[in-house]
Amino acid sequence: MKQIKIEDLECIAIGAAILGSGGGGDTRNDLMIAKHFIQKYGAVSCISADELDENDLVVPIAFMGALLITKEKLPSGREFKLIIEKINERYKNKRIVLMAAEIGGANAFCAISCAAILKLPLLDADTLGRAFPELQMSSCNVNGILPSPAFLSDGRGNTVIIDAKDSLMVENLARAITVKMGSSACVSLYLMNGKEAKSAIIEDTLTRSIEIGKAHKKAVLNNTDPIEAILKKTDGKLIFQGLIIDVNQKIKDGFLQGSVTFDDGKNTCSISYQNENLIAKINDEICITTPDIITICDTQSGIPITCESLNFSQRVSVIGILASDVWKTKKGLDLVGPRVFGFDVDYKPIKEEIVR
Amino acid sequence: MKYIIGIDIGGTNTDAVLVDEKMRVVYFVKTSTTKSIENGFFNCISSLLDKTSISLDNIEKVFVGTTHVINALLEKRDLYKVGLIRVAGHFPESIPACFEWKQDLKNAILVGEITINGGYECDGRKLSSFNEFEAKKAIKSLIAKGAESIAVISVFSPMYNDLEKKIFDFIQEIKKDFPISLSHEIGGIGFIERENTTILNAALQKSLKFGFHNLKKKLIELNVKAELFLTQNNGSLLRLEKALKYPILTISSGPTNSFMGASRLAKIKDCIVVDIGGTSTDIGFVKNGFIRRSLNLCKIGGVDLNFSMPDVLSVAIGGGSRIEIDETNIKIGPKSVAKNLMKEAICFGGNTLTLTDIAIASNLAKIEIKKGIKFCPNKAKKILLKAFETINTLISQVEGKEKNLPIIVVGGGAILFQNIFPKKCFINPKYYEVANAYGAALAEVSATQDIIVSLIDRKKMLSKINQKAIEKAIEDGADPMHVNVVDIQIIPYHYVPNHMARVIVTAAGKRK
Repeated sequence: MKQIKIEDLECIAIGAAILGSGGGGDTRNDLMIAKHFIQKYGAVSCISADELDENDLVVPIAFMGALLITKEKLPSGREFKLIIEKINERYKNKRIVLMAAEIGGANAFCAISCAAILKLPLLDADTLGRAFPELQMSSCNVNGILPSPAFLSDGRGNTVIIDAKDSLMVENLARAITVKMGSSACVSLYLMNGKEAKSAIIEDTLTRSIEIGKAHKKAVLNNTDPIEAILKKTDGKLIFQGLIIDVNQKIKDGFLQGSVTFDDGKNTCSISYQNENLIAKINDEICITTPDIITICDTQSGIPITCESLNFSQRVSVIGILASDVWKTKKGLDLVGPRVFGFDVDYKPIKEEIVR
Repeated sequence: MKYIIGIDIGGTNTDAVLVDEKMRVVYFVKTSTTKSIENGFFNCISSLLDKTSISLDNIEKVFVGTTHVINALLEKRDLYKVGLIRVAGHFPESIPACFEWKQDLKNAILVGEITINGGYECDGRKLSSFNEFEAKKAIKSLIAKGAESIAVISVFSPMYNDLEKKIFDFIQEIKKDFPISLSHEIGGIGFIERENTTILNAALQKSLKFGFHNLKKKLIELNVKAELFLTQNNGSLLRLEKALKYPILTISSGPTNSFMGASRLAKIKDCIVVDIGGTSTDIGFVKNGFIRRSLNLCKIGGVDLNFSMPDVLSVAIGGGSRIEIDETNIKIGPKSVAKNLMKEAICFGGNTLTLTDIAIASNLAKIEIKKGIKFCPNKAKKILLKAFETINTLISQVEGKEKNLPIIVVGGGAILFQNIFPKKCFINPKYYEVANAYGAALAEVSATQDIIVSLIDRKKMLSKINQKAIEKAIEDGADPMHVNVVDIQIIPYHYVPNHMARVIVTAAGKRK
């Protein structure tokens, strides 16, 4: 068992954003919230999957809705206690082990804050290994864990429990309820016991985000190349380095869609995104697709840039990181492969030879 | 012919330029900043007017840029004690006020925070019912705790500002003319950054209270009937009355004015600007005639604020930097003789060794002086080169990979390095000494609309917001014939239906 302390949080913010594949939102507020609650209630105990008891209740938790709205209507901080109360009412006398539903982006911090307030253990794992936009896109779903009952709570004291037929219906209902809750809600679903969890989750992702953040921090302190450090830590590939020459975005069906184009003087690279970066092409040839992680970082500082913050004239590096194995199965690709997002191509692992 | 006076009140100098309708410099003066801001202002303009023969009636406007507010914050002087009212019916406990501020700044400013019922969801539904009695109780309790100024922030007030306005009235009822800062006057969506900015503003109201409210009177004493404005962070104008209430809006106007002024004086649209003043040197990037803005949130004194800042690197080296020499070490700055340069520097008859003295001793700078300096020229040259190297390192950081841009050097201290900057890139435009005052004279009227809307009918909605921004700019005094939308930012809110987005539109134009 280890401890998540205040000084780990800044590293998580960088690491989680890099695993976010351009999605998962700005981590600043959630980082502050986690800092505040650890300051107030103390460090969080973090256990690995090996330390799970078969009878533990593993509770994935996240915020759902528009991150930009929670920047104005801050979480009350009482959503967490409320949702755990409801879970305790439903599953009596279980030891609850919290887990980030999504490690990519701001949601890496939700479980940490919740664990700090309620002094519950936190599992070093998540159910995505990155960020994805919808609730059915979960390793738990691939591994046959039921999404219901799903729990929602908001800052004004409302809770809802959804008992739905399948994961898509949970997504639809939860989305509608979240809007009524002010477009931001705390959500928990795919609850499972310790035994089920061992085969359904993606392990060690919290540690991974800390390690990536630490490597980045060290490079910045030593004045060495932060991009190089990130690549080494993630076994990633440098896909492209250049200048942003075009950003084209729109919203379709509630999701941010767009493309961004880079130029290095010789070649052009373009990335299509829908909340997360999904496909990258160099000179019109596909070189990486979802579910592999595509992250755009500021070349000089190594700081990852989310899709909504892309701007003209930024000098950036595009990094490709292999997805967790669960997403490369047939079931996984049926949930998060390129075709799910409307691209008429099949998943291809990152190309070994990349034009630079 | 009509004229504008641009004036820059800095820590060391107070400079003024007289500019004609075609933005040509007619006259300029440089004077020392005085302890009394209003007297320095009076002296500066009167010596400018002494040089001209134009009719005073033809001076239409006076635009003032100043670093007074930022200096007050950095030196933590003239700050009010602030009480904060959060109107937030969901009573957020996740982030307390002034979280992550430096403890000494927080202690110097915040005396209490109270959350009360009210506030809205993004779609206009109430978070909880606002209660007049509760609001008044909060006001009285903060004043009892020692608040000298009250900051008010309500959830989603950039879109629904009625509750902040109500609280303004209540405070006025309880204590007339009590200093108040309303968050919707200061910025857009983003609770914590807007709250930080509102609290700092509430504290800084004291900094402009003394000195600036008399500027108008001083103009009248000079028989100048021109309108008076301050320049704000984005290079546009602010009425004096509003500036006195919202001084934070002027906090980064110093670099904005000098970078814009330098680029326009040199008539170069893509360049690096190096502004060497008496106390510090600012380095920035002008691209296509606009200042490169920082992509990160603006941080001043360690506090995250909610407006974009010019992307500027600064170092405490300037003409007034004190030089301290002992056996092993040579220290350049960060202390400066600042506004006393003309009295304390050795070359001007004083007793303090400054970088200006060093430049003269090195024989590399030609400056008119009162008194010679006994100092080894070679040693002086070494010190001056050391100062230059520090500045040069920052220049290459600002340049990044764009190595071939012209470098425009302006400010009172530019002359120190006139023979050191590489000739091929060094541009020292005419009137370089008063680039910030010239930049102030360039300011336009602007207005910003920042709201969250549904973009289902995108075209119609955008044109409505554009129209509103233009109307607001005209209301604030822009010439209806010359006002345009200069910036549109659309930030889509994903994961919610109805194409919700935050739209920020800025319209700007010349003053009528």
